[in-house]
Amino acid sequence: MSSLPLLSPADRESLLRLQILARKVVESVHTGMHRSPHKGTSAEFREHRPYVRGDEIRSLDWNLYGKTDRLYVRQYEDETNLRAIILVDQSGSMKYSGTRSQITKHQYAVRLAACLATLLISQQDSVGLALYDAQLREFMAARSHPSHLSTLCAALVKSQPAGNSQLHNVVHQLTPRMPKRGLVFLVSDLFEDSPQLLSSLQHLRRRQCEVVVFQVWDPDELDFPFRRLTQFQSLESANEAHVLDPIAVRRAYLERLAEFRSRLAETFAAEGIDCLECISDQPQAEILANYLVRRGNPGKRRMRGTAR
Amino acid sequence: MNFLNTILLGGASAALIPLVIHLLSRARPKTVQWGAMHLLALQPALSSRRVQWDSWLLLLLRILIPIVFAIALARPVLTRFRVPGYSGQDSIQFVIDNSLSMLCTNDSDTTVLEQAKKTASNIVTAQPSATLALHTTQTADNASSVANQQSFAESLNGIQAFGSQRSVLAAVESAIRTQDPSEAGMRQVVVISDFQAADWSPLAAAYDSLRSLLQERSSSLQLLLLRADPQDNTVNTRRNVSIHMPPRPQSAVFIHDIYHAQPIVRNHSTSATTVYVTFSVDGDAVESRTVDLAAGSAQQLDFACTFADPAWHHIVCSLMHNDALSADNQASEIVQVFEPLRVLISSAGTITQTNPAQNPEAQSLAEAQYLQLALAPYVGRDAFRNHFRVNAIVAKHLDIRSLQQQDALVLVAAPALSSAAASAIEAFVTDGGGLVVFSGPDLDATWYNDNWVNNNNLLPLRFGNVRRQDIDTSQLSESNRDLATAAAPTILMPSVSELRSPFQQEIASLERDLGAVHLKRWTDLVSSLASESSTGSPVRELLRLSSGETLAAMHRAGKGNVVQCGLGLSEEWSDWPLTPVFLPLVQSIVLSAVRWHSDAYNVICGETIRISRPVSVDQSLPLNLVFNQIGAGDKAHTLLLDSGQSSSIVPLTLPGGVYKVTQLDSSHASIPPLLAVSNDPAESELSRLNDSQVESVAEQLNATFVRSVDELLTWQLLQREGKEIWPACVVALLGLLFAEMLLAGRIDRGDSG
Repeated sequence: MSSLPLLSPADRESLLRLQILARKVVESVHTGMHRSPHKGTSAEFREHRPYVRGDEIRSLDWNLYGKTDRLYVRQYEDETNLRAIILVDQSGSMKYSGTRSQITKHQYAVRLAACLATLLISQQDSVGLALYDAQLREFMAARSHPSHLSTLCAALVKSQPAGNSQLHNVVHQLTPRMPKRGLVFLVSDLFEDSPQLLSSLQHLRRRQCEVVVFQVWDPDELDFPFRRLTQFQSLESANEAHVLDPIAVRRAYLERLAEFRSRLAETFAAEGIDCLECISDQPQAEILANYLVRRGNPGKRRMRGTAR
Repeated sequence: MNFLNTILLGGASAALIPLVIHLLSRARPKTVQWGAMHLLALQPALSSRRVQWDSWLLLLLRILIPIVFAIALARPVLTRFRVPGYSGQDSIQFVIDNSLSMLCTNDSDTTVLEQAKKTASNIVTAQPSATLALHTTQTADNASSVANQQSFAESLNGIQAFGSQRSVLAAVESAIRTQDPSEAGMRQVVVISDFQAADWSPLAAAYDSLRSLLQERSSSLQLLLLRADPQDNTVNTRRNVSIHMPPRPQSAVFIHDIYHAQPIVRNHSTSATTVYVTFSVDGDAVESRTVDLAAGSAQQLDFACTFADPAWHHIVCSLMHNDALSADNQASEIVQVFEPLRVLISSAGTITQTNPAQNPEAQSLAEAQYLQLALAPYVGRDAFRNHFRVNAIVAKHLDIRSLQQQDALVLVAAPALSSAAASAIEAFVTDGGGLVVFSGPDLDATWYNDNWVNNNNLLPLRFGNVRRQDIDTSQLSESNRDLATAAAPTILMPSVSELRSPFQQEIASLERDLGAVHLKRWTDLVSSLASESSTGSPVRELLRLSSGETLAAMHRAGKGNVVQCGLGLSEEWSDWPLTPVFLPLVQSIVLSAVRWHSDAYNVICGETIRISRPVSVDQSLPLNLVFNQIGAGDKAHTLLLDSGQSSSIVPLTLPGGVYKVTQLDSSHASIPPLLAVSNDPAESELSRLNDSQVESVAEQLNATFVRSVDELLTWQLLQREGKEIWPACVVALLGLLFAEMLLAGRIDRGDSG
């Protein structure tokens, strides 16, 4: 809460609205579907397993040894919360807002991140936040205290999209600060160089992080509804602009879009990354519910390497 | 090419709208802040050019659409289809079919004739400046030229339907002939008809004649055939029952005779029906019958009646049936009933009894007695059935007094008469008495030829030599057929059929008996040129030999008729007084001499009748006749003729029914007091030509068949202005719209790349 005074009145109002929204969204979805897959020391017994060399002596169950004359190790449920990092893309391309959506893609990403944070903290998981464009602009370590949620939301509200995004740089900067075997939520439009993006994600996977991507789209980006002669001014580079006949380029655009989406889908499938496409006029509750359903149904999960 | 609505061409300026929109949209590109720049790519140059071409093509289509739309609204016409040399005022001759079948009603009780009038009225309303004339198919050639629409409407409303036999083609020909070929402008003859097969009988010669007449008149004269009720399918033309009196020779009917009216009831529909027939005599219903008629069948009824008083009577047969054409549900017939005729027989010899019936045993075989027996065969209580009251007198006793109160005088082989008797007879005939002169052994031919042929032409022919046995029985037998043929046409000739002999049918059946007569002698009857030229009355041959010689003839002398017969009644001359043919033949011959109304009184509508006036009447006076239809209230039809002639032949076009004829202004016309007008039975058939058949008729007549007023007006517009091509413009417009839709869709989908 220490950062709250830094907020402008407008940002404070935005923050409150964001928190209310996030709470409503989280309440509306089914809670309890998320259960920590991590196991460790705790008072709650889980199971016995045969002793192997290297196991701590203190974990042996001597009573069972007395009864069976064999060595077993006791295992307990790990009640330590999940450590998750939410990466929110605040590149210039996230500023786009089409005619049919009420908010920009960045605003949508902020709301979605707030909802995720609220959901996780409500389950006493630890949540961190990373805002990035070409560089890591802000990082907040994962914590589970409820007051941390306000700090996260304030940071989200204050964020302003600009520049281009380079996730691989960010990942390298984050690596020392990120927990191993954590959960990484990436909220972005993924409008960057595909090989570098792929290498970034692979890097995270090598750290045994579970990666969930929320790819944010504006409806205009999906069907390219323009008709008149149009000058397309880049949101990430002021020098880049093209005057085009939308009717002439529409077909090629849609073909490239399809190719882009299919390439990402193949990449995510290959890396076991779960990807949810979000359209900026789509309710966040629907996205979260969809996500939780997919997590709760192992048959549909694409994640691998769940830690014990 | 011309435009009928030129002002609407201004709408073509709307073509600027898409052009301006296009240019404006091209001039100011819209700026969009866009994120997914990596998905945008500049298209290959070829595709861009293609898109540009598509855009320009789309723009062209969008410019053309309002232009073509404006042209279509302006109603363009191709003037090369216009009638060459067209200028001036239009002239329309209407021929309205007012035959009886036009009285068919539809479900709303509207007759086809009324629809025809409405159709004609609509055409006239659409062309207020045209010169108009109106013809009907049932009136004569008196077209009523009308100057304005009001008088046309009055003439149109005055048209009523008749059941005459006059052909529509005759009316069309009349209309064509009344067209003035020198008139400028478009000249049309518009025929509005229901196209009954009976009226439009396919007579190739008639069609050829009409077509050649059309070509003769002018190329700008157009004949148009138009259906009176083009869209009215409710006229049930197949549901009709009719009744009519078949024509038959007018025969004499005497009081107490049993007269048989024999109307024919015909069911024209395709289903059986039952009709209720009522017979009335002189307006009083006498008998009613129910008649069952199978589909398409006819039945001849027999209605017998007698008449107690000698007068003109009318018999009306009425059908009670709800059918499409009610005008043919009544048939009528006029009967002239006579009391027995008074006949005086005069011969050379003495007849022992003036009335042989009182003493049959005392009858001699004298010629006069044969005649008496033939004329008055019934005796005793049946004597009232005789058609003649016969008296006899010796020729030398003939005088004016003896001829008083007589209808006819029969001279049997009379010798030369005294001058007083001759004068009395001449006066008798001139006043209307009938005279029959039989040849015989005592006939003084020289006297008759000198006094009644050379002097005053009382006799139709000269008495020639007495031929003796030149024709024997065998010769007569051989000439039986010829004689019968000679007798048959003679008896059936108008001069005989006018007599309405009660033995018309019997004579026809006994013609063969006439051929068996053994003829031994006869007197030649020789034509006299002087007599024909002086009297002017035609000589009608009643009997003829197979060799061609006239055996009996008659003519009119003054008011009376004279029959001259070369046959003798003596046994020495022939045996025909002993044959069955004698009685009816003698009665018919004597009837021939009696003055009758020779004019027809049972006529078919449209049939011509002869109206004659005595020479003594001032012929310069107009003939003014009024026909009051009996049973139709005060409905009167006036016939006014500026005569100037002693006889006029006029077509009598009156609706079917019985008429009482009244002569005004002392016209003194010889016309029956009652007249029965019947409809042409062919009109009851109600068999209409279908459209393809009418088209065939139109093709034969070199005419144009139009199905409605709108089609007619369109056709006239084409003739006047040229061919309208707005439908083609509409098709082009639809094509442009479709192409624009396809191209815009293609560009929207981005297929151009």
